[in-house]
Amino acid sequence: MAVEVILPRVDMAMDQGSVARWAVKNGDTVKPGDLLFEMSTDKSVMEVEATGAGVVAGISIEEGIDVPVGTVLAWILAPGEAEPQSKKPAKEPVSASDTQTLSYSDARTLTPAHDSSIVPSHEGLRATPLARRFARERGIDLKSLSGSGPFGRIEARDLPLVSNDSNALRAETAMRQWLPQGSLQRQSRGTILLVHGFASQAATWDGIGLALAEQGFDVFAPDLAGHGRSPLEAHDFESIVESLVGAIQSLAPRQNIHLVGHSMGAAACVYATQRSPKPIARLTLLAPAGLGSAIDDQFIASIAAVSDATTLRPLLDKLTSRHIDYKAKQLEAMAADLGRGRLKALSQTLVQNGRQALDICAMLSSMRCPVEVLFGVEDQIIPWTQIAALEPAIAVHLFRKAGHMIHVDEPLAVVKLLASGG
Amino acid sequence: MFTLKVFPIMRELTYAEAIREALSQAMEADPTVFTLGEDIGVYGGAFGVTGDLVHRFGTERVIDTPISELGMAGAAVGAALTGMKPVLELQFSDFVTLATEQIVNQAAKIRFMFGGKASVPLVIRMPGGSGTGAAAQHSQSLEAWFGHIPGLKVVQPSTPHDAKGLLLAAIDDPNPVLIFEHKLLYRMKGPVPEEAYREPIGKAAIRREGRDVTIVATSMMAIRSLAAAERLAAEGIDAEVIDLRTIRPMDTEAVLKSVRKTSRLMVVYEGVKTLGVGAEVSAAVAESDAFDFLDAPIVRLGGKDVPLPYNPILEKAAVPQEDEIVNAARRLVREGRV
Repeated sequence: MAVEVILPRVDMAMDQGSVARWAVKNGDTVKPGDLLFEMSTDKSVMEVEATGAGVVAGISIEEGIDVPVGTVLAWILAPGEAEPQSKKPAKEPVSASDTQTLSYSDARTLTPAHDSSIVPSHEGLRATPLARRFARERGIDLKSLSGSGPFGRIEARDLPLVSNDSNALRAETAMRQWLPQGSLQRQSRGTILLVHGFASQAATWDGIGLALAEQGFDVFAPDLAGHGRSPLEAHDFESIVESLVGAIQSLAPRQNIHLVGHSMGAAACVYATQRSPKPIARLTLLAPAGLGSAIDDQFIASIAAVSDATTLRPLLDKLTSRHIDYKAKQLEAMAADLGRGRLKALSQTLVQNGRQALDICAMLSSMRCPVEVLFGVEDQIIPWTQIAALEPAIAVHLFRKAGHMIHVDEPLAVVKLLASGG
Repeated sequence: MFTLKVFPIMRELTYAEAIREALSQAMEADPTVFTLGEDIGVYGGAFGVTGDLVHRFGTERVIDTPISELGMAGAAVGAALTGMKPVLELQFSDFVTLATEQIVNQAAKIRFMFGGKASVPLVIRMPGGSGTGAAAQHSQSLEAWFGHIPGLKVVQPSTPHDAKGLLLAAIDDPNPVLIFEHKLLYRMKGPVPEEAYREPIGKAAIRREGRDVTIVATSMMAIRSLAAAERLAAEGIDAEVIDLRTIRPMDTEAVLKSVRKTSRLMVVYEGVKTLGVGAEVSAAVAESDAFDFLDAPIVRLGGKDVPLPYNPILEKAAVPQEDEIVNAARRLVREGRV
């Protein structure tokens, strides 16, 4: 049967893309794994490989032309088979993880992240790029707003929920949100804020962020100071906490936020819970820093000093129990980000004389909200045995086969836990 | 308990003295460094930069040339090719038009055309800018011309500290570096360390941190923008001032980072507005992910598209002044336009 070659979705914020370069032409014979084309999104260029064997036919989209996700770009035909007439996709667009070859049988079927009516190009509507981005990330219809700028131009301050507090505004500029289709109409099951760890960024939550959003939660994740797209610099742990408090403030007027932190981000969540003017509903700490003094200090120093993909690759293997295939381009992007050296000062305040400098134990015992701690038994960065420091009132969940990145090793179990009553 | 903080009192030099000190330290440290130009010997330079250097280093290392910019530039490129490190002074940067063949077609390209086997460690110093009543042929800001040529580095120091540090870095550089000094800055005083330190070429300086608007400026305009920012602060507008210091290679990352924070961008430069530094900075932001952080149009304040007038009132009107920077930034922040 003819296999469709479609433009896959590789990023949740993606609704269109283009073929940067065709590697095949009509009439070429391909087998699974052969390079079909390079696609470019607004973030990257990736390779897309054939998932079936046969003859390429029906290439009609030229290189460089933007088309919606899911567009059928060509067909792979069995010998003697005729080209199907319709160019409409036979299925919903599929999600492509960067780490595996696209395969239609096992790829997860997703609905588009953004309803096209939510983020239209707005003919005649005037809004600044910042206002447009905020609207896009929050699922706000710009047509419903009136602008205070020249000629009615909508500016960031015209959007609801954009606080005038510049600290909150700045934190917000680096916030990631996952929006499943129809997110505006549904009843929200609550707000979850996912807080990444040292040398990571909001994108680390992509797997579980969307899954939680699809289950009805409003899910956000900030890039903490010094990380990812955050404009703030991390001079020390205090900068991290400040940027997290700003992120929490930017979610006002939402109530009952569930904070989920990983590693250093977990420690930051504990500090932020104490400082937040609004009560935090629940605290989930994945492999938290600050329970004991032991830590792989070499790892922290090495990751802060990464200069290229070669030095980065072996470090990544320490984070998970299962082996993850990163593409060369992904590694280079991560290494380039780390290579900017933004984390050096921070790393020295987190680990001193080979031991953790943070201590969250005293603070944890005075938490008013339910707290749960998750650890992977195969954690190579922070030993799971540090749970011995926890008081009996704190729930502990151990994952036998997970490493430090529990949400990467055991995403389904983590989602189940977070979505449950707590 | 008290702790007494002792601040070392740093010596102050003028911009011209700082340049002279850099030249003198480079010539002391390295016998291949020498300087040449019109009237730089006994006369001490049209703006007094070389001063007494000829008496200390002799006429073989402080060379008065005939009035032929093409000739002296050719001699400097040739000397550089043989391993010398010439520092050429052009009396006014406007006269660089006569030396462009040597700079653009020879100095900038030789390294590439010889596959890296030859290099041209040449420095050209030249005063640019208006404000001295020197009229159309002695007041231009032509730096953007050279920023357009691959193979050249273009530097614009705005403080005595940077004038010394960037000149020493330029002399160390194995490739041609053009330094556009500013006539109005030669007598400006500022702290200058005594040792022979280097300031990195290609790195901007954040002169003032702020969160409401990013003002990217060069040379004299960085000084004016900083003064404007202090006045804006009194009105509750917190401006960040970035002094580019080098326009090629440009420290785009510093600009993007700032725009991601402030959401507003203004570029202030003395060269004519059209096809200049402002266009390059603006485009760099518009092409990057910082685009999504813009909450107002980008504003360029550049020189007027006219030959610089001799009339002192018109001369002032032809380049951005402090009042204009204050007004433009205020309107940009408060009203989202200029």
